[in-house]
Order: sequence, then C-alpha cells, then structure tokens
Amino acid sequence: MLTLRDTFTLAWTKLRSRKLWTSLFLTLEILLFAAVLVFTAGVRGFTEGLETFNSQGLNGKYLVTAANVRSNPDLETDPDVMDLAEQLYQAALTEHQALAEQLGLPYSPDSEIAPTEYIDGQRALVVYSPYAQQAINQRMSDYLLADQADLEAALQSYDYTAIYLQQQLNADGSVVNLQNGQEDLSRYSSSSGNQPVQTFSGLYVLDDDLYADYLFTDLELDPDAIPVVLSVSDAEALLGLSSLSANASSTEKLQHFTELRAAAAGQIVAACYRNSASQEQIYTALQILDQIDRYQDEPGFTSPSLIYALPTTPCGPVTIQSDTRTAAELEQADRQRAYQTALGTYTEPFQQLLRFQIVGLIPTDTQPASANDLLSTIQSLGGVSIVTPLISTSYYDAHAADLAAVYTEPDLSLSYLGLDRQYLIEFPSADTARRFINEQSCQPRGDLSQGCATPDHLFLLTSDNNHSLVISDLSQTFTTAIIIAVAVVLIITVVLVALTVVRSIASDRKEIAIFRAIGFRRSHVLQVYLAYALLLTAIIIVGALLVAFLLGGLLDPWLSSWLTDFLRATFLTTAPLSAQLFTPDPLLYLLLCALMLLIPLLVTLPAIVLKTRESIISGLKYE
Amino acid sequence: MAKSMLAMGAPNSLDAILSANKLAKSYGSTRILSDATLSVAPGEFLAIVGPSGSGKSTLLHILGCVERPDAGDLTLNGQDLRRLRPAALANLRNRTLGFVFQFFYFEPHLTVAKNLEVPLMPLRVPPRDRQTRVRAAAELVGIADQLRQKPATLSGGQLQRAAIARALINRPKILLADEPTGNLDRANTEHILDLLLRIKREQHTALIVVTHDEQVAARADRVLHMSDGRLTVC
Repeated sequence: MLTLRDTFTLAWTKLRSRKLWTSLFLTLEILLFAAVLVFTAGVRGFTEGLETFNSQGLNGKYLVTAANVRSNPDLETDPDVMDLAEQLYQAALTEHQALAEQLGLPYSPDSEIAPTEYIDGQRALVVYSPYAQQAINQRMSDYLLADQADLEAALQSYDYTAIYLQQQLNADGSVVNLQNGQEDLSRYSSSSGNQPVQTFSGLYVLDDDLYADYLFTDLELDPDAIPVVLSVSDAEALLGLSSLSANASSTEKLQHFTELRAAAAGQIVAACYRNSASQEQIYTALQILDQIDRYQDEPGFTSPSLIYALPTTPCGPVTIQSDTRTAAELEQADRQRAYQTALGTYTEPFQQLLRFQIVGLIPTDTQPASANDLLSTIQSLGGVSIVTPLISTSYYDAHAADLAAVYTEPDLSLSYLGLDRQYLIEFPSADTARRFINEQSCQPRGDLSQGCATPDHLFLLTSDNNHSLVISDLSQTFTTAIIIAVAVVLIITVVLVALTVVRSIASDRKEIAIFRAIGFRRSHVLQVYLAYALLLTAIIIVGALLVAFLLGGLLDPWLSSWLTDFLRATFLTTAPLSAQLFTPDPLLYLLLCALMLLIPLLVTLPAIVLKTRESIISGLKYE
Repeated sequence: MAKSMLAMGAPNSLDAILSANKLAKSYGSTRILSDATLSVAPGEFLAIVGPSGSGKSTLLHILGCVERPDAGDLTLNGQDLRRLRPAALANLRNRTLGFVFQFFYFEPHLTVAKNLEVPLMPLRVPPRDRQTRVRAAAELVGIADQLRQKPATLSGGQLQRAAIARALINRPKILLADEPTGNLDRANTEHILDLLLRIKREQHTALIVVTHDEQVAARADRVLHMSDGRLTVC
C-alpha cells in the first residue's frame, strides 16, 4: 500500500491534467448535486410547512366519513314498488272520495298525483307522488340500515380515537335570509325569477371538538341567537363581500380572509322561517293583490270576498284585509279544512324570525376544480369539504325542543340513501385510516343511487371531509420524487465519474507502464486511480454543499416568507405559524454524500482493475 | 559467426549478477528474439547495439522484468525470475533494477524532487529519508539546484540526469537504459556517459545500455550486437 499522502499526491496530478474536461465535468456535477441538495431541502421544508399548517383545524385529524348507503335503494324502477304505489293510490282515491261525499264536498280524482305514468310506452314511477314515496318508504325497511353499533363492530380491530355523528336538520318549509332586516316578499311571487337566499334551510349538527380551531375566540354570545359556523363562501354571500378570484395572490387571499373574519365574528344574521302553509298564504295574498291591481278598473270587476294583507313586519303573519264571504262560503271553507284535517294534510300557518350568530368560519375548498398547476392543487388542499352551516352537538342537545319548531331531523328509516346521517371517525394515523377504508368500505354499484352496503361492508367509507390523508400521500409522493431525483443524479454522476476516470486511465497508459516499470504494483496503481475518483466525488460533494448552502442562505429568507404567506393563504389561518423552505436534513445529506462517494467508486472499480491488468510493455509502446 | 558468450570473455555465470540463457520472444508469428544468452557482472558496463527493430529494446525489457520471455532462463542474483509472481517482480524492479527511458517520462505537475521520490513511494520511505536520498541522487547527477522546479523548465540534458537520478534513488544493482542519449547533443551525451561511468565506478552498479550511438558503445566494457533478434559479440 502507498501512504495516503503519496496516493493523494499522485491522484491530485490526475486532476490537474485535462483541466478543461475536468472543470466542465466538475461544474456540471456540482450544479447537479447542488440542485439535488437544494431540492431535497426545499421539499422537506415545504412538506414540513404543509404538515405544520395542516396540523391546525380539521385537516390535522385523520378523518374517515362513514355513510350508510343502502344495499339496494334503486326502487324507482322496481315493478313491485310501482304495483304497491298503484294499490296505495287506488285505496286513497276510494277513501278520499268517500270522505268528500261525507262532508258534502265535490271530489275530483285529478286532484291526486298518480304514482305512475307511461313514458314511451314504459311504466315509470312519479317520485313526487305521495303514493310513490309511501311505497318506496315501505320497501326501504327491507334493506340494510346500519347504526353506530354496527360501525363500532366494524372498528373493533382498528385503533381509532373517536366517532362523531354528523346529522342533518332540515326546515319544514323555508328559511329565507332577510335583506337589511327586511323580508323580500317579491321573491315569493311566481313572476319573480329570483330564488330566495336560504343559507339556513338546513343545519348540520357536529361535535365542535372537531372544528374548535375555526371558532372565534372571546366572542360574546347572544343567548337568543343560534350559534352557527359558516363556510367562507357562505359568509361572503351573507356579508355581501365578493369572493376573490382563483388567481389572487397569497397576500390578497390572506388579507381578504382577515377582513372576512373581522366582519363575520359574532355577526348576527336574521332569517325568516315560514312553513309551507305560511308560504302558501304569501303566494295567495300576492296573487290576489296582483289581480286586483290589474283588473280593478275594468268594468264588471268584482273584488274577491277574501283579501289577505301582506305582513307588515319582517317575518310577520299574513292577515285578513277584508273578508266578505257569505255564510255558504264560510261553511264550504270549514268543510274543506275538516277534509284536510281528516287526511292529515292541514297545517296551521307558522312563521318565526330566526337569529343566527356567526361563531366561526371554516375555510372550505376555495380553488376551482380546474386548478391544474401544482401550487393551485396544493392550495386547494388547505380547505375542508365539510358541509355548513354547522351547529354544535352540545347546542343542539340543549335547544332541541326550540329547534324542533323549525327544523326536523329526518326519519332515518325513511332516508333514501342514508346520507343525511354520517359518522366521522378520527384515527391516530393516516395508515390506519387508509387501512380501514381499504378493508371495510362497501363498493358502490355503478353510481351511488344503485346502492353500496353489503352484510359484511355496511358503510361507504371516504376521506373526503378533509385532506389529511391526501397531504399524507403528498408527502409520500414528495419522498418518491426525492428518490427519483437522487437516483437520476447518481446515475449521471456515476457515468461521468466512470467516464472521467476511465478516460484518464486510457490516456495515462504510458505513465502507468512507467510507474509499474519502476516498481509500482497493480494495487498501487489501483489505489491512485481510486483516490482520483474519490477526489472527484469529494470535490463534487464539497462544491455542491457550498453552492447549496450559499443558495439556501441567500434565497431562504425571501422564499420562506413566500412559503409562509402561501401556506397561510392555503389554510386560511391567522395562527402564528411560519415555514422555512430550505430545511436540510443532516441525516439525508449524510446519506446522499455517502452514496455520492461510494457508488461511483464501486462502479469505477472494475474498470480501473481491468486497466491495471494491461501489460507494461503495451503501455511503454503507447504513444 | 557469433561466438559463445563465455568464450567471448563474458563473466562466469557464478560471478554474474544477471544471467540470460537462450531467451526467445515472438509477437504473433514474428520472431523478435532468438537464443539470446548473456550475463552481466556487478559493476560491468554492457552496451547492446544494433539497428532499429533488431530486438534490442525487447531484450532490455525482458532483462528489466517488464516483459516475460516465451522461452529461456533468466536469473538475477541466482534467483529464477520466471517463478516470481507479478508483485515480487514489481518489488524486484523497484529495489534491484533501475530503468532509464529514452523519453524519461516525468509527472509534469510534480516538482523534480517529487518525481524523484516516486520509486520511494511503494517502499513507504519516511519523508526525512526521502529528502536525504533525493538530494544525494540529485547531487550525484548534478541537478540539486533544479529540485524545486517543474520538469517542463529543465533542459533535455537535465531531464536525462533527473531520469538517471530517479533510476538510482533505490540504489539498484543494475541500471538499464534504453537509448539514454538518443535525444541529446554530443556535449550532453558526453556528460551523461561520464555520469554513467562514474556511477558504475562509485556505486559498483552494472549498466546495460541499449544504443545505436557508437560514442556510447565505445566507452562500454563489452559490446553485444543484435541483429534479427540474435546476439553476437562485436
């Protein structure tokens, strides 16, 4: 063995020959490896930043949604259901006709909606017919319906943190937003093209532990208002703030969100609940007033005997302006009411002014689906897909009776798909969540309306309420990207180092022969050229580290600031979090440098051994 | 007609440091060397002359253990060189033999001193010893003032002296030189010859010089002529 000093003295002379080639090669390699180092540090910083910001709010939890999508709800085309609906319809006709005769009312079968019709010679169910709905509901009980006990049984062999029930409350009628404190009754007019804005027609009940991070702090709660958490888009619509375009910068988005939070925090929003009878009265009142307005100046015009007056206060009742009905007309009205009461279809008009207080904002998905660049896609992951407006389970439990005057919880046994009651299961890790989905979810047959549940797999399991699993997958993808980049650069490095060393050996044939003639062994020559390869890779590593840290040091303050703004805008958070883009991983760098050092050596070794085995004399004769 | 070597006043094989008997070498179907027999005594100056392509250099390479003969015997200090493994041969080339090449290759990026150290490297000679031996060799050949220079700054004569110093650095028993004055003018040739004879005299080193320079041959103790791969005594 040569001494290390002698080995590297001779190896250094190789580096000083063929300067142009060596300089070009080293420059290229240093830049390539520096790019890999910067890339890995950047990806690590980006991923860690993403995970830090993602750990806030709902996205920080590994959630799986479990919905009981029935086994075969495709009842609309079932001939048995149609037959049953027809039977119910015929029975109703007979019953209603008898009741009408008993009350002395005229009866026409045309007043009932037939449950079936023929379209192109094919019998089809008329789904809005009450008899069709009754038939479907009767048959629903034949199909699998799962509850929390079934879910807990499915979760038996999985480590999970909690199960949350998310249920939907629907208003039996409409809950129309007031505009500047006023009820816009023109929207009830059939001639109006505008549909009333009904932000609060449905409410979703969910444990606020899940979305505590989105709640405003230090808020004075109004005891008479229903505390609701809204999505950003709902809040924008309610507060009359226009939403930003998808192309808005991170700073603009963050500023917009900050302004929106300030405007929404604790804001009271009023809405008017009217049941169907109350809405009907508004329609009728508007129609009669419209007729009077149009025809009152025409000859022979007779004013209607019953004229309603529109509410004089927001969400007030419809009153009677004049009632000149005869005794016979009044009796006829009484009979009609008795008929409806007997059939169970009579409802007293009811309206109620509701007050909602905005107690939180949820950054629901903000990016358009067409976002196709990486940053836009990542930015779309910051939002959550949870439905709003949300009220907390604790509030619902405390005010269930009050809420019941407006909102009814749908009868689960009548729910068509079972999607109005879902469970959110929180897992401690993405892997467990993913495994639970893969192993326990039913598979939808065709589209969802064709059913999903089977006796062994009762729930449709998805991870679409938030993006924690997607972000977890994204981290994996980034890791894969790093491995690919490193592999590509390593391959290029190995090829170039091998090429350089082999070129050097080939052109040093005479020199090697002379060295061997004066007493160098093959192993000595091997030692020198391995040291040469080692020097090349060492220079690449040191040079690349210098370039990477120089670039990182120069650009990181600016890039980290950009990343922090980007992530704040992505996750729409004002939490005091920050991200650092250039975050080198010492262990990864050590591994990369070791690979850069060793792999070219190992690959070059056979080529060097082969060259050292050439005869001395052929080298001496080489010119 | 060629005479027997022994009959021609060659050293007795018992006295010889190097003996070759019936060496033969071919490249493909071309016979380069046939029945080459010779021996060299310690401190003897043997010149091998002959026209280009006569096989002189091949014989020198075989004697210098950088090429193996196809047939024949070669002994150095009574040791049969055919039985030695490559590592042992390398050791022999390093310690016992010194080689001077016609084009005296030097590493251009090392100083003359460092170039002279190269044969010391396989022996792992400590730095202080190296300096002593390098200086001694440089003083012997008269290039002590050029030790810190790069080879490119030296003249042809100085370079050949440096090549001889490098060959002598391990105090070899035999110095083999291939056309050592081939690229030198007459004055420089005379200087190199004086140097070689001084080395022979002072260090008792055997010299085997391949040349077609009559000036060199004239000063040898013994001259062998090579023609078509065969040795004859002049």
